[in-house]
Amino acid sequence: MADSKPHYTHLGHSNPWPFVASLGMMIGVFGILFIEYKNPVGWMFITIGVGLFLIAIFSWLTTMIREDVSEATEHTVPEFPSIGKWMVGFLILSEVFLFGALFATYFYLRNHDQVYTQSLLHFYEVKGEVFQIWGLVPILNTIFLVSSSVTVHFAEEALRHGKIKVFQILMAITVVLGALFVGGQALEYFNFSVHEGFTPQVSTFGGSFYTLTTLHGMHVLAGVIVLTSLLVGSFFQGLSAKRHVALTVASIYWHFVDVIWIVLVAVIYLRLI
Amino acid sequence: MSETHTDTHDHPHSPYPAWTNWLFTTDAKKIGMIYMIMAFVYFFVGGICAGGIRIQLATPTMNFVDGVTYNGLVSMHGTVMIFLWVMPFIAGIINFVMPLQIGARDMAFPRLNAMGLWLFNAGALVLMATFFLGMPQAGWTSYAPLSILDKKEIGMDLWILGIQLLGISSIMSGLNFIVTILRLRAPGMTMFRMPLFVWSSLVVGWLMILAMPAIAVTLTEVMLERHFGFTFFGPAHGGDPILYQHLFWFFGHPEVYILIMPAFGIISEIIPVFSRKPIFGYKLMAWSMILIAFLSFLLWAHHMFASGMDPRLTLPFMILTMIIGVPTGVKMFNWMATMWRGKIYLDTPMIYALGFLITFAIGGFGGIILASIPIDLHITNTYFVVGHMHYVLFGGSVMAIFAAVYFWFPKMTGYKLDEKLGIWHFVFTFIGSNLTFLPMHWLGMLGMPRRVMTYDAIYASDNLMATIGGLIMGAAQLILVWNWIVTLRKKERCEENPWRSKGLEWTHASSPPRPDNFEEIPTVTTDPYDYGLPAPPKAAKENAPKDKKEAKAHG
Repeated sequence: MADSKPHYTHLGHSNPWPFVASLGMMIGVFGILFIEYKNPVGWMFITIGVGLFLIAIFSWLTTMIREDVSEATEHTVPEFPSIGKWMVGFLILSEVFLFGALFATYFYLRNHDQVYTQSLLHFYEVKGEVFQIWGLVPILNTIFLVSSSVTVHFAEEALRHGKIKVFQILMAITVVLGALFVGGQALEYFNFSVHEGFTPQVSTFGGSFYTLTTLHGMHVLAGVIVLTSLLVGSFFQGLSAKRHVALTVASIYWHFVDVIWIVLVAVIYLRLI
Repeated sequence: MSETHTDTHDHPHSPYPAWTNWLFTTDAKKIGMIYMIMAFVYFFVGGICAGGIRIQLATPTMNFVDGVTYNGLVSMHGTVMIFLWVMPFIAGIINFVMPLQIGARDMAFPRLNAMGLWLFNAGALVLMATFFLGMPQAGWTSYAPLSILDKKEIGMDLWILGIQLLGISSIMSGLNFIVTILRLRAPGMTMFRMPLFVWSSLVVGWLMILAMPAIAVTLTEVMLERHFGFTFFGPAHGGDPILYQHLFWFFGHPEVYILIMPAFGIISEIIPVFSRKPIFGYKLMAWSMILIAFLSFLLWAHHMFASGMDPRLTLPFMILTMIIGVPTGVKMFNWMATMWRGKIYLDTPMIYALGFLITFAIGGFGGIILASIPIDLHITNTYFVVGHMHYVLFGGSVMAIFAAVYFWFPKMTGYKLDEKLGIWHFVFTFIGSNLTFLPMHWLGMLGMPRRVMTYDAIYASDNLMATIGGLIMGAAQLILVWNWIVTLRKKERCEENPWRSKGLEWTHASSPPRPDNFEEIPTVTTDPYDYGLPAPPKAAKENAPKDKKEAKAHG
């Protein structure tokens, strides 16, 4: 411990992007408010807000990569090799509670329905019939997501051993699988709501199904965006055998998203509990 | 260490113009200062709401405000005081003091820290917009039937969106606190050498990351129900309002401990310094905070005994609620044992700490009374609850915040606040707050319901007393503002370590500290509260840094 004194010299003391990103989020929030009150001005606000937010996040990330490349040899990497990993660990813990609250909603509403009807299955009824959501799309989605977890793991291994080409191929496969998952979910939503009449508004089951799966889908989408930017970055020396912290963090997160999906399948789709 | 940082220039190699120094800063100390300044601004906003409520309640049928405004004032008073006063002040003081106390140069993720700050400011502005567009009517708890009934009520939507931004901000801060404390401690600073304020920050971080997701989900569900036709809480389509209460209080109860935990930390810092004695039972103090935090997730339903929830569940919640009194009691006794036979200096921070011990104890007793179901069923939703809650939050959190302001002001600015004005501030705050909140207990016992704007004439005299007390308390805060103005204009630099504290932030950093906190990261060789051992402390200026360096050389 004695000779590895912590320091932050690489960070500087100024960065405009957190401010700009927050400003964008605030403008976006006012946009949502206008839309809720059917005021078309809201879309303009949302466009400006999201635009500012994306510009800020993009600049924030590129600044980070630039600093990383220019100062990596000095002190950024060896000082706190694991703060990123610790961070994502606690973030996942927080996310577990986020999904936990939605699962709690689901179980509570299901049991509450039971009080009145004496039948658990009543909760799943749509237009008088028990609605089955398990089918081809969720099966394929499960295959996509589980195999993408495998490919991202081997991509990480490849990077660790300096095989940058193998890494890039495996990452590309991961990203495509993730994108397929999101596409599959969109298709499923379309089928359910347009063809089968199973909309979020139809029952408490509809509400909890759509909120849970949408929250999960947004996590997949975020993961796809992060993995894509890492893949693109790897063409510009963003990652190397010695510096793969960002990828490790992203892949831990990706495995977590996968685990949540398996829980979702077991609980919501297959109704095992 | 890099040469570029040995200068104490405010913004080394910043490519941005000077006016952005504070706007774009990622320095935890500046971020902390902005948090604290904004917190005080909103403290006065919340205080004005409280003033409106108290004036309306001065007589049984006062016509100071109309019903809609009154509901709005009640909602916004609670929201502002919790989310925009105590929460940001806590975030600010932790940002300023914690990295200094653990010997770190900054937080683990300075930019995330800045993002948390500006999201807080964004959320606060959204909440402030309610004062112009229409205030929310459903109280700070926004219970479901109220919050989903009137779908055209813009204040409710602003409230929801504002709280969502504040929630994200808190999760970011919480993650940062935890990783910073666990990974960035100076060499030799083991977990059980951390000052108790750092322990409280760690525990608060945990509470933030685990409790805030629940409110994010709950408010999203309210939003979907209000505007997109989903059903979660509305009984008409199979929802259940009690679900809202469960979800809300799963957030809400840990939230209460987010508000009080840093107060425990602050008081644990101040009492040893001004008693010149090591804290009594250091490890027990740390473990009791961990235990309190753990238990706080298991007793949310004690807010809902009268709600019609499953009665089989109420008993465990009552027992757990009473158990949480044990570690809290341990802390009270340890603070008193720390002072026992100490050499007590009655400077302003210490006076506030003593005030805290008294008022927080009264609040705690009220909590034990409310925890017991048979009593709670009678006095829930009466003024007894209001009295209890204000003793804990004002007598607990806010007293500790004032103690922290007087204690760390010299560290933040280099100037010491005027002691005489500080004591007058304390006297009026203490008298005013007790005059306001004590009568509420017997008003509740007599049956006066909370959240009403008119009441029976039998409650008149106690309510008038509470209103007078409230006005005294409000006026007392002007003394604090005056104190700041006087002190900052006088520009009389005080000693580097006016309280002769042994915390790293006093012994190894200048006042105000340089941007990267320390010239050289200290190596810690002693426990945090080594007061009066073995020899009495020397005069501040010559001693402290040298002491530690000598210790390092010998050890």
